[in-house]
Amino acid sequence: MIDVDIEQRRGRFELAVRFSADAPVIGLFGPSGAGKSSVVDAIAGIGRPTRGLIRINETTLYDSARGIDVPPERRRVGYVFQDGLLFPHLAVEANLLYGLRRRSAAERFITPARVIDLLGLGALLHRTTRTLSGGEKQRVAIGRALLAQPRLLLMDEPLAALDDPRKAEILDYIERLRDELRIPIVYVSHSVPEIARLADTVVILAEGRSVTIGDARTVLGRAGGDGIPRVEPSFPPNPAPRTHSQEHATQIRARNRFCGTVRHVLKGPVSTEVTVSIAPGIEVASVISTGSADALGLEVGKSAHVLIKASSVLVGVD
Amino acid sequence: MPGLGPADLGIILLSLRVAAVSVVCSLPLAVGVAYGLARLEFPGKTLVDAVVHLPLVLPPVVVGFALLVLFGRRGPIGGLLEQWFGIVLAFRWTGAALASAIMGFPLMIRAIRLSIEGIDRRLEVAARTLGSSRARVFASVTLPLALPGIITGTLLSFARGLGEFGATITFVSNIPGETQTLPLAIYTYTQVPQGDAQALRLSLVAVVLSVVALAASEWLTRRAARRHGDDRR
Repeated sequence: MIDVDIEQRRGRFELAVRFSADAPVIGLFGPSGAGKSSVVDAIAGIGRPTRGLIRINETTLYDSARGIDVPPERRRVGYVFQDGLLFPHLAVEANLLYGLRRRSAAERFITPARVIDLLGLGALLHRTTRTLSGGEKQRVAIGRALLAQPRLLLMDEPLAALDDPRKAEILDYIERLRDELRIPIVYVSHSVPEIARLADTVVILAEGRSVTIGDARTVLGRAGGDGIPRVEPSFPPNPAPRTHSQEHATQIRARNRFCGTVRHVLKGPVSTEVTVSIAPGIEVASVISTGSADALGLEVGKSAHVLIKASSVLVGVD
Repeated sequence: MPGLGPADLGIILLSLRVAAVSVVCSLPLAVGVAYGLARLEFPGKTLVDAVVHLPLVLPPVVVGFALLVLFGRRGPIGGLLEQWFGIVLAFRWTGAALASAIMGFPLMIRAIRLSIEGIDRRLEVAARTLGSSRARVFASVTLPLALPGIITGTLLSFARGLGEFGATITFVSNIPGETQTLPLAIYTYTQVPQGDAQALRLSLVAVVLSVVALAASEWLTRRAARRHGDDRR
């Protein structure tokens, strides 16, 4: 169980995020600049909120009212950064064991052997970090965080620096540790497929606020709307959820085109989430660049055409 | 050219001792100050930065004179040192070490500060999340990653100490066997008739020592950089 209720001011950016979730993987989703990293930094204790409360399984890590602010080294919150941040002066094995050495016997519950097996690190142990590929670095970074015996694992866009095949590979590993270890994960991403595949509960952030929280499929289908989210499974072409078809954008047929009314516009500095109602009870949520949204003049109540590329559809059924 | 006599050997050993003591004593302080300048924000930071660099731009004689005024037996600091700890620096080889330390300090600071500034701060943040306190992060991440700069700074300061003249002669004078280091001895030989051969011999020694110090610095820095997986060098 993780409870977050924090406010933070940094310059003109105001963060006010509140969610409680009890799930193996909590997805933190939203356009860049929405405040996702500020939230995980606050949970890790490396960024300080102005006020609020952070609790993991009844252990209070931060509580401005009671003057509690546990320093990061004693929070036992693992953090996997976008670019791994392995220590360049240590070999892979020493990187892995860095956090383990700093935990008492009573705090230890994952052994190096387990982590090495789980993440397939056996062959890398004596390599220097410089010789690792991007995917290998990220696996070592995950292992290092796990061996610091965390009660919660934060992953901030851990796949962002990788190419697609590597992404798929690391996703497999993350799925494995989700299923085999009992460590809750907060997974930050702006990629719908990643969140959809890993997360059970999703918190959507926009402009520093938590706008939605709920079951992953429901929330991603809705993406900020409040109607019943449903893209009817009978719509042709009908890709199974989370699968990719090879259909090309130029092959869009008339049947993939709908006319509807804009219901919600959620503008971020970079990307904007638009929800369009195309039939009673059927809403389609789409993430486009804020530039395009401005160019199209998308506003609530205006009518809009929705072109659907089958390969990009994520079906959410209530 | 005749070999070096016992007096010359004594001068060389004294010089090495003065330079070695000066870097050993100033290194911890230099690491601390460099870390502060590189990583912390505090009031008066610009002033500290300027004061630390002053010996680089001031005439060494002025530094020596300032030391004499402050650390002389009747000076505000020198008087207290003698009264409380029985330490006398003026006209002693330890005073020569102090003068060398101060003249070499800016070189040491610059090298160490640059290498600390070159460390990705997020590595230190990562270490915190893995269970290290600030002090432990410093010892286990910052210090080892700054090692190339620390080596460079130490050897630059050491070489500077071997060559220190103006501040030394002003503060501790030119006493054979106590404060007469290599440059001072060379200067003395040039002032006496038939001293040229001696001066030349000691000058060659000075050249060799400096070259060895610089070569050692280069070699150690490369080694440390390689160990740290740094491809840039």
